[in-house]
Amino acid sequence: MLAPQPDTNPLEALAAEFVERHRRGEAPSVEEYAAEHPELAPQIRELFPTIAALERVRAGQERAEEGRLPSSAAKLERLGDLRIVREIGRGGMGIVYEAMQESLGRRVAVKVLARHARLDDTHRRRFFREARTAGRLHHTNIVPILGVGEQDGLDYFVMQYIEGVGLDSVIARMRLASADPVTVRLSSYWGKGNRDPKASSPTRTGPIRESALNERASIGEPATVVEFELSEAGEPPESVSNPKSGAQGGVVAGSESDSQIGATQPLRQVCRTYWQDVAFVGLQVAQALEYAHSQGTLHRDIKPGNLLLDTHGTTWVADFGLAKAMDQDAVSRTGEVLGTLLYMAPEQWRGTADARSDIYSLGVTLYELATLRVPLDVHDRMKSAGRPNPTSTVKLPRRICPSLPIDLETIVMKAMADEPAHRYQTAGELASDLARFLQDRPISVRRPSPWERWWRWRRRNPAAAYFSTAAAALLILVGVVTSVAYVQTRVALGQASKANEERGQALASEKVERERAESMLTTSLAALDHVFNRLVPEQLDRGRALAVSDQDQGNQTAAVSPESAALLEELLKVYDQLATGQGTQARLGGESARANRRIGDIHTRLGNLDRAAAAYRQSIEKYRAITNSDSDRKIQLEIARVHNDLGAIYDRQRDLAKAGPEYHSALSILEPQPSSSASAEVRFEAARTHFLLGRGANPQSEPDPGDAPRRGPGGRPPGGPEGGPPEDRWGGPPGEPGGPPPPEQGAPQEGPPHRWDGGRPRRPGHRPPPEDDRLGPPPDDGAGGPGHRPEGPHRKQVDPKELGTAIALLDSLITSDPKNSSYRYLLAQCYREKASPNEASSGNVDKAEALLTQLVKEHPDVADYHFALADTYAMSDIRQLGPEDFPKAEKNLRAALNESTALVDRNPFATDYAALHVHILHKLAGVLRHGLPERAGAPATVDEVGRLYQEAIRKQASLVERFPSNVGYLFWLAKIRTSLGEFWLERRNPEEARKVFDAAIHDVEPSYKGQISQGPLGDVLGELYERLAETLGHLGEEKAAQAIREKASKIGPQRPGPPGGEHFRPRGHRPGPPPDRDDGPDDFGPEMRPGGPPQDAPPGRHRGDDGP
Amino acid sequence: MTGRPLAPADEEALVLRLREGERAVLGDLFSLHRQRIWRMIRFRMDRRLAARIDPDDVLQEAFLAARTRIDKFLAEPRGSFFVWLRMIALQTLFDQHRHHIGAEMRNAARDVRIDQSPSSNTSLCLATQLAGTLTSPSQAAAGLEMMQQLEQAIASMAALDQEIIAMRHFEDLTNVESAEALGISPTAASNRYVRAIGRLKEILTALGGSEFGLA
Repeated sequence: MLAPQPDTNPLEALAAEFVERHRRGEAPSVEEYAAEHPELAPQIRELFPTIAALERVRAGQERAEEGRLPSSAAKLERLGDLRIVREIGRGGMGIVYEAMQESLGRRVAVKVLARHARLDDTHRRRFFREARTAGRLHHTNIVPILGVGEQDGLDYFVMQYIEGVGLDSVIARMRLASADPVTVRLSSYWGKGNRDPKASSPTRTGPIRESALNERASIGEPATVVEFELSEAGEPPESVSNPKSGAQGGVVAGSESDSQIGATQPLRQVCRTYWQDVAFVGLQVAQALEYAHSQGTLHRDIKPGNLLLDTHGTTWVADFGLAKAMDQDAVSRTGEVLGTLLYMAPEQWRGTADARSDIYSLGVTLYELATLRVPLDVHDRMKSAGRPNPTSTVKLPRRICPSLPIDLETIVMKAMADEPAHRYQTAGELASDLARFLQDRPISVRRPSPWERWWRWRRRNPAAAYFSTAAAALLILVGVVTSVAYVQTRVALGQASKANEERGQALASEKVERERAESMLTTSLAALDHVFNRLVPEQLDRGRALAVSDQDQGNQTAAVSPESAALLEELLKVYDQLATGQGTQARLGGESARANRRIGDIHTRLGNLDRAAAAYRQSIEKYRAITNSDSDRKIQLEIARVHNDLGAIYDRQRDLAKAGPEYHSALSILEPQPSSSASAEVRFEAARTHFLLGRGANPQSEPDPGDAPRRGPGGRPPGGPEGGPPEDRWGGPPGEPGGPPPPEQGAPQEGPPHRWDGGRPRRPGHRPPPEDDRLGPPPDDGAGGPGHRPEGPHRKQVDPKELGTAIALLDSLITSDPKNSSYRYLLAQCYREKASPNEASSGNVDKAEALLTQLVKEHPDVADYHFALADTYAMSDIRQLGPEDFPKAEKNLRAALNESTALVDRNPFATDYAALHVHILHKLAGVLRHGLPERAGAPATVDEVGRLYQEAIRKQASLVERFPSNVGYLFWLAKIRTSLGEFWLERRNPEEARKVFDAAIHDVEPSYKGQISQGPLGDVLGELYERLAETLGHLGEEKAAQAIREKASKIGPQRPGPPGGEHFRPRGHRPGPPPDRDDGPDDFGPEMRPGGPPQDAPPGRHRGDDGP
Repeated sequence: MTGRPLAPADEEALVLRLREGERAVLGDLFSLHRQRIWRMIRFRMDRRLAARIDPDDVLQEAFLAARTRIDKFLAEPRGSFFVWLRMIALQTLFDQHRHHIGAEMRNAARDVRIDQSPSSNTSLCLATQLAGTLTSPSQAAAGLEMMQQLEQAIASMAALDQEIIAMRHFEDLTNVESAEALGISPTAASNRYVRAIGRLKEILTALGGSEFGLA
């Protein structure tokens, strides 16, 4: 025992000794320590039991290791009649050896249960019983159990020796070789391996690639594959010692089902593709299962590791029935259970299993074999542990491997349906379908339609689906109506045009057809709209939707989920089809234009901005085509709306040059109408247009990502951050805030290594008079300030005049209709927008907050209102942050966090909400972090800051994963990591900081390389390099730091240099972008949103737009 | 204070000889720490990775990496050899994670916890260990549910708390070593450890302490 250091915690020293004794095998008692050290007794009693528990865990682990590694202790040489030849594999349950059974002179395989799996008497009896049962199974594809035994406390069972390789290692090797299943044949792996992964690992890729190549060459000569492989592998035929294996084609007595019709041999010759190999493996296993089930034996643990491929291409199922017998503690202890769980049917989690559970496991195995991925990993499993819906999020295999035949996918998905009742009911049925697939005959199973899949999904996820049952039923009904109507419409239109072409004289008949078609179309569209409105929360156009009479007024918001997105995609096709083709008739043209607008809406929601813009443009065109006179106000109004929508899209894309004209087009339609005579709808739309025109930088503010547009009429997020402050900060003439760094800013740089130590409070709105830099020290975190504002000029600025116009219009609308929530919602947004730094104190934020609070109260179910409120909380007051403001900012942010947490919980797939949530986490962490000096670095707060950052990172990372192409998310992830890294540096923990920077760089580098001119990414990457170099400096790794700096200098030039900003940069090495602006309370510029800058932002532009 | 007698003096002597050019002692240094490094790798290895490669493979790689980087260490030692070696092993493990399952994870639409940094999955590793004691596999589902709760609970602990428990109990680091690895003072580390145990106790108790042999 080391002498405790003088100044370490005395309790720790005692604990260390306590642990030490534990590890020596003593069992020190807690009381003994308590008695010896009365002054610490309470803590000892409090903590030592936990320490002891930890040590027990550790000891258990060690025992397991010993069990796993018996070879290290004593080498096993003999078990009864068996002479151990070599170890051929090991798993959690035991080690498999090759052995000679001397009395019979045959080669066998012995599985010795790991020591830790030692069975108690009850279980041993059960084990022997199960083994005997399994021993009675005789099937071509089942590894025969030859006996069981026990010696020196080791339990083992003896199996026939199969010269082959586990499917798990085949899969692993294919993965490693990045084999493309399309060009590789499973047979190329047959006979290549042995079950000892060690032996094969050193040469993994070489031979595999080679054999894959060979195999490619031999494609088309299927019949020779086996021989080819055999001779190549040089395996003597007798190595397959299964007496029955020679008769692989033989049909096992007792199973006469259809599946047996195509006996193995002929079928194998049919295997022409990898997919057929997969099916062939599945067929053999299914046949084995069918037989075993008929004998009353379940396998219970079908997984790749239990399936062996021998040199003849025969698949063998091992360990039949033993899973249950060995269902011991030990199994789970080693983690084996985790591997097994991947393949376990949902009902097995609840402790019940029947034949269909084996079918499920086989389905999962085939899924993995086909895609080389497991449908759900352990984390997913854990998340859904015990619940019946683990596969509800399984990706269809063809999404992974598009060349997978659709029938095979159908078979696999059917086999692994969540509900046993939806699976094949017997292994024989599965085998029959696989046989049919192999013979190119139609399979028995019908693919579930998207509706069915959706329906099942929502049944399984009652909590996630926010539809009432009635609404769901309505949806289904509407879906059916729509499909029928669609078909009839097409038919009718087809007939009409045919009639038109061929018999021009049959005008009357044509007219009838056309009318019919029109009415069908109208019905379809109405139905589709209905579905659409139910499916998608009215977010994007909530204001519009509520204001417009023909819109569904329902505010019931549904969760945007992958399922509903898929449905939307389906709807989209229908809309698309409806929208094409028929344009000449005014009526149809109008519907078609409307359909296009809907398509635009859907794409907006799905984040496909370009396609949304295209659809909107088409919509406008079509509307224009049918209105020659200005008299049709309704259509005119529609056109104005679409112009606004389109402009908002351009805003989101930061294409200000295009957005402006759209808004002006809208105005030119809306304004000519004298406002006195204009309808409320027109005035509202005009207000919306003014709002859109007047809001600042917004574009980028749009979270962008896309997926779920969240914003209200304005589309712009409320601003939070971007709203006010930015303009001032960045917009200012160079010199100003953006420009001139407050004096102190420059100075501090020198600070201690971590200059960023005290954050400078950002007060966006105000240029910080020098004296008010209350936070004193290095102000910089705000960094934001200065240097980075690259381009003030193009940025769209808040235009108070436009906003004022909008507010005036809305005020008058509200006077006449005080209850209208759209009006108030838009008004709130206007206020928020207006809350620019200059007017920070004018109460705009408060007004917005009050309006939104009221809306939330009235419509608690409208997610949008919650969202806007959270967003507003998140912005409010941050602008003038001085230390004394932190508490309030913190309070608001916590309220925002609550709101956003609830939103995210209820709408787990709505990315806007997720982005906002991340944003708030990040911001709250920033506020707390900057408040740290005030709290004297309270440890609890330090922890919380770290936790908040981690949480933000985790959430953002999951956005990045879901939308890998969205550079904005990636950018944000890197920014948040930067904040965390800086935080670690502040906490003087450069090691941690380094990890964080490393991780961030690791993420960004690949994307940056892909798009060299990517401004924002370049900025952030440059910044990361700088930070990392600095960190390495702290760690004393100067050389590495230098190397990193060189890297940084390489991308330097590409980054937009802030025009006048250079001098500001606090420590010369700060690269262009404002490093920390993100965590500062108000620094969240538009792009601060985790949603990030749109990927298409021009390099320089992105930060510009938000400030005036 | 670990099960394996730690002999800092041995280490220092060996490092000294190494510095004097006696390359062969590198092997001795490795074997001095082999067990603990192996344990660390095994503990932190993602399950999916464990299904593909063995901790021994990682250990091997780590030693190779250490061999190539040893000059740097000798030139500017920044702490103990062991902590340096552990860091290299962690990095190696991280690389392996990235290599083997990085792509897969990037594709899967789900929370990532593993690939961010080598230690970001500490809570999961801890939960796995702790859950192991209470699972009786016939209740696999219940066990996993517990594990999930456990992981969430542990994840709610401060990262430093998680790390220090992992280091002290599953990686066999001493207080001084964990302090060094975490970049904090030994005093802070010891306080942290005591506090972390307190937190863990609360968590385990809340989850039903008796299952863990508490209470």
